[in-house]
Amino acid sequence: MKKIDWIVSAFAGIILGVLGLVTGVTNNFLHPYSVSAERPVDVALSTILTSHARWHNVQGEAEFVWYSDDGSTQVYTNKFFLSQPDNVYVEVTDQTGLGVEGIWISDGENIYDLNKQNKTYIQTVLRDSLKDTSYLPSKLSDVDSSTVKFHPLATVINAPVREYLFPSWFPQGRVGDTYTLDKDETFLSRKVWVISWNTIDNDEIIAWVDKSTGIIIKASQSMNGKPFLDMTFTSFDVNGKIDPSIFTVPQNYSPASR
Amino acid sequence: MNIIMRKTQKAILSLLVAILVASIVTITALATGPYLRAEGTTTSQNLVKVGGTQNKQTLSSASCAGGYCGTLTQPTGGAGNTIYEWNMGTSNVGNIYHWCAYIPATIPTAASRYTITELNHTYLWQVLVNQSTHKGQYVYLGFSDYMPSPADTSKRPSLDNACLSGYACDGRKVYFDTIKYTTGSTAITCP
Repeated sequence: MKKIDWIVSAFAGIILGVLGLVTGVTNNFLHPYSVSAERPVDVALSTILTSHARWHNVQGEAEFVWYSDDGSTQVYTNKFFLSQPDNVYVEVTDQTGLGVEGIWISDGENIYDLNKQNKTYIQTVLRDSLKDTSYLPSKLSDVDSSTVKFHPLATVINAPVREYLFPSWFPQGRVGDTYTLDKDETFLSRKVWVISWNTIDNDEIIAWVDKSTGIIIKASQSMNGKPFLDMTFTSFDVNGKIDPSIFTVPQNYSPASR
Repeated sequence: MNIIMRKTQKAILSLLVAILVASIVTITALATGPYLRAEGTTTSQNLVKVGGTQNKQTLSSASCAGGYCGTLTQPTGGAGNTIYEWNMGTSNVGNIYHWCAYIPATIPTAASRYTITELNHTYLWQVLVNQSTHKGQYVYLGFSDYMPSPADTSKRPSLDNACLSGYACDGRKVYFDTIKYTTGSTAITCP
């Protein structure tokens, strides 16, 4: 081969390599995955995985009951208003006086973490990367069971209801975990799947999943057979009108000194 | 006939060179980590206390990624105040893109709060992770633009013992384990 042939060949290789990276073709060789026939439980899990793309506005209230080792409980309510992509209001009220409560607001530009006791708030910027959902797996075969990827907003909302409004973590269990579609039901006048997730650590989460949005509207979690958490939506409205003023800091709050 | 043979040989050789170069380009581009900072031994200096009064405990357990975890206890009611940062060492200082944290298997029951800071300190964000539902897995913490050096302590990733709003607050333990990062802009592949 002449010198020019070597150069042309190497250049073609560079182009091929870059094309492989850009198109993601090389990922298929480096990260192989298995694809199974779509079972009913997979339809439900796929709906959960892509839940954030199935609604625009949601509002309602959820109750959380946490169980302690000594048998006592801590109870919180989470009142929520969300308008995608990034307007959020969540108010946590502590019903037992044992934990932390607060209000968390995103107006699409900034985040406000409100202290209900002293009527102050801490303001931070809503980072652009929190608006990027492109890294989320869009189908079950894209799930990497060793690394859980949350919806970006779900990583920062300061209230547990975030996990159920953005439940993309639920189908991202470990190898060896099992998911079972137990039954269809109606809950809060909505059609739901009841799915059991049993982990290799002997934990179980039973989730009542809204068929239309993929949002988990009721859940019961246990560890080694002992109750750990009961979460229940007590009201839930999808795509109803939300007054945009809810996504602003109430006038009786002032910035906290940091 | 000889001409056809020579041209065929040349074409095959060209193809082989192209494939070889393509492979090198791909492997080089993807060789961007992950790199890790483990909570490795009982004498580990990877975690540095930067606030509060509680001293981290070291747990030897097969549930932890490297056989050891750090633990802090959340308060019973109220807010926690102890913060530990990962001292990231000197390697790979510069650009960083994706962070992941390992959650020990079997044992966690608490929700926890990681803090990540970007280069110019304009962006400091707190990632809330319910450790009880991601046992034995890495969790993706998000994207930043800088790898803090040991001399630049204000930008280390950290974890604290605060009770989180709306979660149980009854003296549960938060676990520090291996933290990983990649320096590539494309792949979020932590383990």
